Amino acid sequence: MVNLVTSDNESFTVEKAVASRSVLIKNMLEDVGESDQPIPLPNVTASVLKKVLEYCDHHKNEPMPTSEDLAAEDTRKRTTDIGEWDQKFIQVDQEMLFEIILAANYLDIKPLLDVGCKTVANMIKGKTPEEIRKLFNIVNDFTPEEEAQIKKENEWAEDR
Amino acid sequence: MFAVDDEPASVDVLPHNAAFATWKTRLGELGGSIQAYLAAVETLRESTLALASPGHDSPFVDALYHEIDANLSKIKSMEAQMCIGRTALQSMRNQSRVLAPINRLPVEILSRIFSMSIEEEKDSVKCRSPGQTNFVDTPPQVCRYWRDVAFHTSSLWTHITLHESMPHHRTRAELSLKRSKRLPLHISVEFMSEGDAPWLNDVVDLLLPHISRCVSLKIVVNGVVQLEHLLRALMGHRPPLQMKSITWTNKLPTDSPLLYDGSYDAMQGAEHLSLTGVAFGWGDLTCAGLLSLTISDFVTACHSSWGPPDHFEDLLRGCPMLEYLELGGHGLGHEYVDGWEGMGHAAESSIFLGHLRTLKLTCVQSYVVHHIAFVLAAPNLDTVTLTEVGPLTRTAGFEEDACNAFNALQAILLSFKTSLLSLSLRAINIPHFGRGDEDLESLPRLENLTISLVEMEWDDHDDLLYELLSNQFCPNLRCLTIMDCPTLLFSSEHIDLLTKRRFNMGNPIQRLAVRHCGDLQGRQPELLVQLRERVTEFEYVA
Repeated sequence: MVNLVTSDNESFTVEKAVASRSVLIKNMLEDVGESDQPIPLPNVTASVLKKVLEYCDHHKNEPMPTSEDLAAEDTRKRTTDIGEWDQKFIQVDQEMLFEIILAANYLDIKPLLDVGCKTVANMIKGKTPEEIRKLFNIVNDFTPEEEAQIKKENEWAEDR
Repeated sequence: MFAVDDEPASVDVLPHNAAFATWKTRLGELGGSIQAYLAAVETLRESTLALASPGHDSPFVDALYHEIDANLSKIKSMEAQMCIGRTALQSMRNQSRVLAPINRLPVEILSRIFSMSIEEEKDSVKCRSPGQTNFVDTPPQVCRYWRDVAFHTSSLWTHITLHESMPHHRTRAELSLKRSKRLPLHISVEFMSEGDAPWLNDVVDLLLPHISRCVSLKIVVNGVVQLEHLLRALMGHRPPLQMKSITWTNKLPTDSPLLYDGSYDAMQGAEHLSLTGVAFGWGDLTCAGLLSLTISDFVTACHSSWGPPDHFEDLLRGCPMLEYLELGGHGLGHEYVDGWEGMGHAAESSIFLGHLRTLKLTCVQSYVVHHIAFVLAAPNLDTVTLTEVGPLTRTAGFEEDACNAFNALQAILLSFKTSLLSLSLRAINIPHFGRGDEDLESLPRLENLTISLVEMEWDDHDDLLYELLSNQFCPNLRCLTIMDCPTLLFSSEHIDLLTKRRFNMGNPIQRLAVRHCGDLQGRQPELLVQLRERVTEFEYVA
């Protein structure tokens, strides 16, 4: 078993197979060898780690993506299809969604990072800039000059 | 003008450092000054009314106007400065982790999300409506952060489009070539003028420094001369280009083949090859890695340039990975082509394409369809589309009766009956089909059937429809689409088949679409009621 300690000082004891879905933790375990020392995760809160571990537990028996898989994915097309379980798993509020993405990035859990990114990609797909701003509570921060430039670029786009 | 007050709640949660506090104080002071200013304006207005009375000379009034203009100018300048301040505040708001949590994502992750979205769009590009803008144009319009990330996401800028009638494409292409850095490029050039082509030379100058990155080249021209000009200029590049996708369309087809030999080098590594109005000698092509092949003007207009059919057969034999084959002509009624009546040029099933999944034949003579069905062995072929396959118009050396569209269809069904899942028949001219006169090959695995017979008398095909829907012909049929049949009139037997017999046999049609078949509601209202009741998914479009 592996003991993980979050930024808000909560401890999680999990199977090694589950924790090792994170390449970061897997490498740490390999570096320190057999040890009871807790592994600090200063960039992850307890609520987020709980979700991340739920994902890792569900996928613990799947083969880890190899470097060849990752390279192939970069050269071949990435699709935004998400598995059924993953879709349900990632149905969280926006704040948690982005926290999960950040945690997956920090912990180096590539498949989870992909699920998060694909979810956001699906959210923005087919939307106008204004709809995206509204969805993510972003404000238009362009100067009048930049707005004029964007308008000009947009005229090009409409001509295509 | 004083937009800061629009969002007091937002401002309150931002960090109150010294600069921000000072700025906010000054803004409050400015608000007070503005109120005082507005009061002064009112006083001024009242006093200018008094000036209208006699006793004040022109220089005095002019000087007053100048003073007012100068002050207005100052105010405009102040307004511009305040807009800049507002923009800064908006940017600060967008950087807030609390207010816009998506912008907590670092550049590389947001960039990754953009890349995923653009990949998805490439897959569905054919479904995009004309008014819908490309995804690549969206992120740079959202906010400054997204704009910066988009401009640094090279994969968003790998599609270069140059259209002669759109001069701004050049500027856009220049930016895309720069932003795409070293990534592979997908280039599309459309030039519809005839004759001399300074625009093409300009395009060559722009693309040539980057052409070694080109993996996909789409060219649409109005003459083979322009195509050759462009290819010679772009493909004189050494080493030869390693292109994965080639789409060349000449909208002014001739019988003259493309003479530039360098094209063959580029095609050697191609996975997708689509040629329209462009003829090669079949024998000169070697495309061992080809996954999809689309040839328009097949056999008909440019048959003499393509060469004899056995060369085409050799080409297919050399493409063992082929998954998609589409052949099209310019329309029926072209002359008979020696050799294609064949049925003996190549042995039956002598061309093995184990990966072929899709076969589309459009405006191809019946005897050619017959021939292809005869020589092709494709055990995994699951989708066939036949469009405007017609009878032979000149029958030298060939019996018309032996080569009508029905026989061509029969040949296809016979050859691929064990693998076929989806069959689409559009404007197939099948004369004199009578129930029981002909034996249709049954298709045990067929799930999707689309019938589209434009402006044909449906009555003539009444029996054919009956056979197609019957249990014996396709027991696993789940989806049926009938479209563009304005005179469609379901007979009582069809209705019986669709709503009762198949249902009772436990293999009902689950999805039925009747589109553009005239006013079926007016002609057979009771039928629509029954279909809506019995068919799980029923779609009716008048």
